[in-house]
Amino acid sequence: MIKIIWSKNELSSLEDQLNHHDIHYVILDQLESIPEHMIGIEVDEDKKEEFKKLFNLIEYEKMQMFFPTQEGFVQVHLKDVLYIESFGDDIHMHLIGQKCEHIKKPLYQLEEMLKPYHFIRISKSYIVNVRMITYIKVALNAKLHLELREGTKLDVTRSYVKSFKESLKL
Amino acid sequence: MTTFGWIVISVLSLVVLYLMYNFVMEFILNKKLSRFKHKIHSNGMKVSQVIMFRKAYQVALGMLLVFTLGISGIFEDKIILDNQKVLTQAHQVGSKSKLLSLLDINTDDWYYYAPESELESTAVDFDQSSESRDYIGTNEQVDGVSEADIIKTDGNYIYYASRYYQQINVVFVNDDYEVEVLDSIDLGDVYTEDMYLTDEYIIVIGYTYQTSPYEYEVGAFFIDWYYRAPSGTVVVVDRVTNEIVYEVETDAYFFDHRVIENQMYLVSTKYIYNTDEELRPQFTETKNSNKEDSFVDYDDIYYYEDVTAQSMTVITSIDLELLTYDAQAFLGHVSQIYVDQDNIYTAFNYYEYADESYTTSYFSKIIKFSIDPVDQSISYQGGQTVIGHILDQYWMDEYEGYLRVVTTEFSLDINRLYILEEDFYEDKLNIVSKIDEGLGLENENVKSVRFNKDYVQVVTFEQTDPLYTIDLSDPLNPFIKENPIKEDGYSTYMHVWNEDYYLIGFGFDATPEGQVTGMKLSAYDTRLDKALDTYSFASDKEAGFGYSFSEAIYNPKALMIDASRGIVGFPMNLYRYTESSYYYESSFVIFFIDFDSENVISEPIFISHDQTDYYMQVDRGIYIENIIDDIVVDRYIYTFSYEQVLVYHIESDMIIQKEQLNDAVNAYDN
Repeated sequence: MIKIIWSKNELSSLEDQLNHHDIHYVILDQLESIPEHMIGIEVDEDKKEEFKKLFNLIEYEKMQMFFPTQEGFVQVHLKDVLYIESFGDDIHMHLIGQKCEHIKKPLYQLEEMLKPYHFIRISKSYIVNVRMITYIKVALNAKLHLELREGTKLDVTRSYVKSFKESLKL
Repeated sequence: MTTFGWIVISVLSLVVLYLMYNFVMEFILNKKLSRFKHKIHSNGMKVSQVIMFRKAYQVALGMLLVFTLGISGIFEDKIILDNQKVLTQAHQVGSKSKLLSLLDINTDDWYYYAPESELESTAVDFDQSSESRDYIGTNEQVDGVSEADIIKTDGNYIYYASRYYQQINVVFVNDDYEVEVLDSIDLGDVYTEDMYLTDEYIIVIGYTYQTSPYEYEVGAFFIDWYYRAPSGTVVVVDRVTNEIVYEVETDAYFFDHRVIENQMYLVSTKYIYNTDEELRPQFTETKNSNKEDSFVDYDDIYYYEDVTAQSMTVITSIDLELLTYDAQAFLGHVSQIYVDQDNIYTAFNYYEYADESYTTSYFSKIIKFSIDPVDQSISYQGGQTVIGHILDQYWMDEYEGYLRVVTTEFSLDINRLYILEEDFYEDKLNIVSKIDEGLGLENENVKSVRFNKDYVQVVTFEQTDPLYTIDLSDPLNPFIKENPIKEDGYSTYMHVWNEDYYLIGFGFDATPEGQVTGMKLSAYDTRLDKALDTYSFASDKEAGFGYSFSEAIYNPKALMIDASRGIVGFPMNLYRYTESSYYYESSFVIFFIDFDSENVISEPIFISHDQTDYYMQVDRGIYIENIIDDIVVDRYIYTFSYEQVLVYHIESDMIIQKEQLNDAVNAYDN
């Protein structure tokens, strides 16, 4: 039995996910030990692994990061990031909905920072959000062409193909 | 498959293989991506299946395309001939190894049957001018297509090449129509066989005998000997200088030949004895004392899958103005040729024996070559196989684009008529119609055939001679006319006389039981059911005739025949019987023919040469006439044997001159 304390406001989205994954749960509403805006949830222990992933996902969806910009900082939901592109010192972070942020942070630092969230370096100047890849094409010259959401196309250059495959555990 | 085809198919296969590899790689990669996304519970975009399906569809289409191209045959060896025809029946040999393989395949399973070559035909009238005189030329099958003979004249000079000597006798006919024997032309090592005459040249067809040591193993039982391989030789002699100006020698036997205007066409047979040697037909040209060797290219040698052979037929053309030659060949033998002004047809008789049923099937492969009207070059047009054998050049004829052929088959004794037409797109002769029954009674074979425009006369024989007339006016529906002419004996040669329905037949007389008794000459009206008149040389002791024979029986060119002048002549050998013994006599016999008179055939005139050995027999007669004010005043017959030339004056019925031509040769001295 796993006990979770969850914010009441976020309950509906969690319930959707639990139902989607066929995880049975019990909501404990009237507990004195928890604050009023929170509730308790009990989940079967054998669904632990799935629940963990679910939790990661929710965490990812909630995940916001602050990135330094010219004017200060910008707060970005990681789930909105398509890919990151560098033009010398200029780093452009492309987001869903044709949006773009100019970031003041070296690409290698971003790579390290975003690695745990499945962002992968695909060439000297590109980092891609793996979740956004819709299709991988094998090109004639040993490159890979990636098709992303919203029709964006990126190349995995030859020197990054191996590490790209490894990071996908392909 | 063509080289181009192989390249296209190979390239397409490589592309399809790459596409397949690509598809498999993408399939694996995207499957893994999908699994990875599932693992990290990405709620982002799913991996696109549509692109995958599209890719699989491409690969399948590509494979289908390669497969279709492969089996469609569009890259098959489609050889387009110069005449724009697609080669579908014959194939090019192309290489020595291919030729060898073809020869290997065919060594055991077939035989050839090559009867004597024979010839024939019509009289040539020359325009009357101050220098030229009227004469009767070689009896030829087709107008405008010259055939060779051992004697040729232009009315002023007579050239006579008694067979298998190495010289040509030249006789000048002077203003008194008497002969002057001039120096003969020496041909060196060439043995004569036949001759043509043009305005400028005498063209001699002959053979050069070469000796080469026969290989034998040391210690083998037999002693060494020499194998003599004759090579066909064409010698062109200038008529003014009597010098040899051009000579072509080839390693083949001449089968037959023709001259059309200034172009000579030769059909020859190259036997292949030894596959280690050069297989291509070889030519050696001698011009201005320069010798040059050349070969027929492998691409100019054709073969048919259904006809296999140990020999090759070579078609050579020689330009008598430029003195150059051109040649091509096909595998297989040649048994008969037919040449008109536009085409050369070769027929090859062969048979197949079925072991199981003990039956023999007879076939003839007919191949057509056309003669280019511009440069006189020859090009292969197509072929067809018909049932039965074609035994004489007169059994073939082309009229208004249709080739008409009569064949005979021995096992079942079925005689057939085929009408063939050249295919427009492929190298084929299509059979448009045929008659395969009603031609000949039981057990009868064809003996002679004469085509004349819309009609053909066919003689079959076993005991009596039905002479059939077949109406060919509708090539699609030929039919045999009723009531054939029946008589004893049969004709070996038929000549159409002034009217289409008048015929002169030359051949053998026979008893009603079918036993041949001697030669005869008959006159026919094909509208009747029996002969109009017949003169027979059949044995009749009272008349003093014995056994008779003539070269004209198998060689119509030995006939001096001209319908417009109403004359037929031929050399004849007779054994004359007396009460106690018989003796041999060689003479030239002349008949006058007049279909308007009661006796169509006149009594014969015999021009006898001095009694001599049989191999010195009379060979030919030449007719030359003296015309004054459009009236024929004098008619002369010049008869030739190896030893003598005689001049006979028809009007006075006298031999007016007798000249020695060559010294007598005793064959037993050698």
